[in-house]
Parts: sequence; structure tokens; C-alpha cells
Amino acid sequence: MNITEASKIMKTVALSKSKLDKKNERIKQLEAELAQSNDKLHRQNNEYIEVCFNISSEREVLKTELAEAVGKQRQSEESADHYKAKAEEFAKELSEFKRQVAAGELFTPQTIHSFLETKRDRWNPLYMADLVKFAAERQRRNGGGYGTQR
Amino acid sequence: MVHSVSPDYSITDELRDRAVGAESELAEFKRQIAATELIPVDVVTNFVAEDALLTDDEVWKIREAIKQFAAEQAKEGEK
Repeated sequence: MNITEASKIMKTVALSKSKLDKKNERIKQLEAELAQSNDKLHRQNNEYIEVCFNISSEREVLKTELAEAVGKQRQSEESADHYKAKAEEFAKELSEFKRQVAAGELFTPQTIHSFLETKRDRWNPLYMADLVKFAAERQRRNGGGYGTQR
Repeated sequence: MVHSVSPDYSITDELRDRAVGAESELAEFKRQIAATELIPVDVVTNFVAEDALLTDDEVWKIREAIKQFAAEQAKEGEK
């Protein structure tokens, strides 16, 4: 090998080395970009996982709230039904009392006293005291019962 | 007069109030009967029947007469 050939080869090697250096540099650059992209992707992935977790938690909270609301609604409906039934029951009994009062089946001692006054010539108004005593005794015997026989 | 109703006042509350009101009115009736402040007509006619040796027909007539009188009194009381 003469000097000229050796010089040519050295030039070629230097050129190749320069190209290789450039490629290596490019590879490093690409590796840096890839690492950056990976980081970004990793971050996005974490954010996505967090969002999914939050959605899942919110779903659980909503499920619990819904179950509570349904429970309260049912309880309220049951209470409403209960009070409605009670109100109807009391109103029925009350209207029977009012009917008895309006029909003269139930009255105050003053009423019977006034009645006896109108019959003074036939009945002794002193019945009144005995009558109230009798009524009290009858109520006691009936165990506090009330109402008229029909 | 206009009564303002709370937005929290539900149908359940209204029914409960109605039940409580009717129950209290009913309890007052029962108290009056127990205290002989109100007397059932049969108590009076039973008293008359036991005390006056009347026939069933006479007792019935008295019962009806008392009822009519008391009904008129009740009507008067409403006016």
C-alpha cells in the first residue's frame, strides 16, 4: 500500500466516522424524544387511571345516595300510608260521634235536664243527679265503652 | 288570611297533622263520654226503663222523644 492509498482510506474512514457520529447524535436525539414521549404517555396513563378511579368512586357514592333516597322515599310512602289510614280511621269514628250528636243519640246532661224540665208535670227533674250517677256507673261497668245500641 | 306553607311540608306531614287532629278531637269525645259530660241516649232510656217500670213501647217512645229533643238542641247549638 502506498501513501496515496493509505491517505484515501483514512479519508474514507474519517468520513464514515463523521457520518456515524451524526447518526449516533440523531439516535440520542430520538432516544431523548422517545423518553419524553414515554413520560408524557405515562403521565396521561396515570391521569386516565385517576379519572377512572374517581368515576368509580363517584359511582359508588351515587349508588349509595340513590339507595338512601329510595329508602327514604319508601319510608315516606309507608309513613304517608300509615297516617292516611289513621286519619281515615279517626275521621270515620269522629263522624260517627258527630252523627250521634246530630241525631240526638249523644248529648250533654244539660240537654236531658232541659228535656226533663219540659216534662216537669210528668217526670221529676231530680232524676238528673241519679241519671248522671247511673251513666257514670254504666260507663264504668262497660270498661269505658261508649256508643249507642243500634 | 293567607297561611304560608313551608316547602318542606310534605303530604306525609299533612296526613300526620290530619291524623293527630282527628285523634285529639276523638280523644276529647271519649273523655267527655267517660266523664258523663256526654251521655248516650241508650244510657238514659235504660235508666228510665229500670227505674220507672215502663213497657218496651213506652221506653222506645221516651227514647225517640229524647233523641228528637237532643237533635233539635244540637241543631240550635250549631246556629
